[in-house]
Amino acid sequence: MERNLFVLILFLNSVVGSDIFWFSYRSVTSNKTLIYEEKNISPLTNPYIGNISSTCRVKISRQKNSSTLDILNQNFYKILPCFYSGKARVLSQTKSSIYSLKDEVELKIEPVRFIVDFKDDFANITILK
Amino acid sequence: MKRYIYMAIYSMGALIVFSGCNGLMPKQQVQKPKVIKKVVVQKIDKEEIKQAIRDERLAELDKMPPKEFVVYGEGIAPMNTISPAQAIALAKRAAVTDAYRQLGEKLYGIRVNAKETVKDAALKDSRIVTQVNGLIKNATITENKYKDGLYTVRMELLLSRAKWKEIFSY
Repeated sequence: MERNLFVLILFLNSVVGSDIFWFSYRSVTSNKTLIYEEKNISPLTNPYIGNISSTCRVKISRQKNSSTLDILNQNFYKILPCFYSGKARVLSQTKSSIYSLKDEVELKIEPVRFIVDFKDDFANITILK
Repeated sequence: MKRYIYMAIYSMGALIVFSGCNGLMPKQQVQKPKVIKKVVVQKIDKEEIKQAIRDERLAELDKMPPKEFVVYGEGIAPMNTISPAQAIALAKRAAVTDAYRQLGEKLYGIRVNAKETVKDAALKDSRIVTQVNGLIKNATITENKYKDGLYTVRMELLLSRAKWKEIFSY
């Protein structure tokens, strides 16, 4: 009983005690060159308790006088690989004619909730289902 | 003569002793347990049988090693970058997108539309449009390298046979 209560407190602390954010990403490449990017990290307004999908450790240190959202936006490309293992939608179109070839690929990482937990010199990112 | 009679009596006595009086005792009859055969009539739904066969097949597939898909995505750094670091970062993202496209091609296939225009028995125009559309999950980047302005990533996707059968059995 005590053990279950302890685990429940730990779980609730990890879920509610940390900041929850939305993450989504969209990029378009043309002929293997990136031409458009859409990055989104936004805080979750409603409280949410979900199952843990995966965890990832990123080398980010928390600076003083800056909010979590600012730090995440500054280190966007460091945390991006954590979300590659999630659901990614790909839409590609290659148009070739006699004299030209145009290849366009759109990659969309679908919106996903995640928790960030800052430690001394790294941060744990937990992706929720 | 008497001697022969005594010998015959002794030999009969010895025979009875060594045979353990087996021949004299009545044999015990071993009773076999009676097996009562019952015929059970059970109604089985066709769908249940199909489901059972399906489950059995999936169980067999689960024992097989997972299917591995490996692709190499390539990305080029754009010309108008402000620093080499930015060029590498942008090339990497382009390479990841390309790798995803290749995985999509492998998993879902490619839709091809082609149009050719012929005028006076000569080819005037030829247009080919290929499309890939799909959702990819659990892909991982295992290697990456940057050389001569070209960024290459190795992306792999492990898919169990049962999952493969479940999703792509069309």
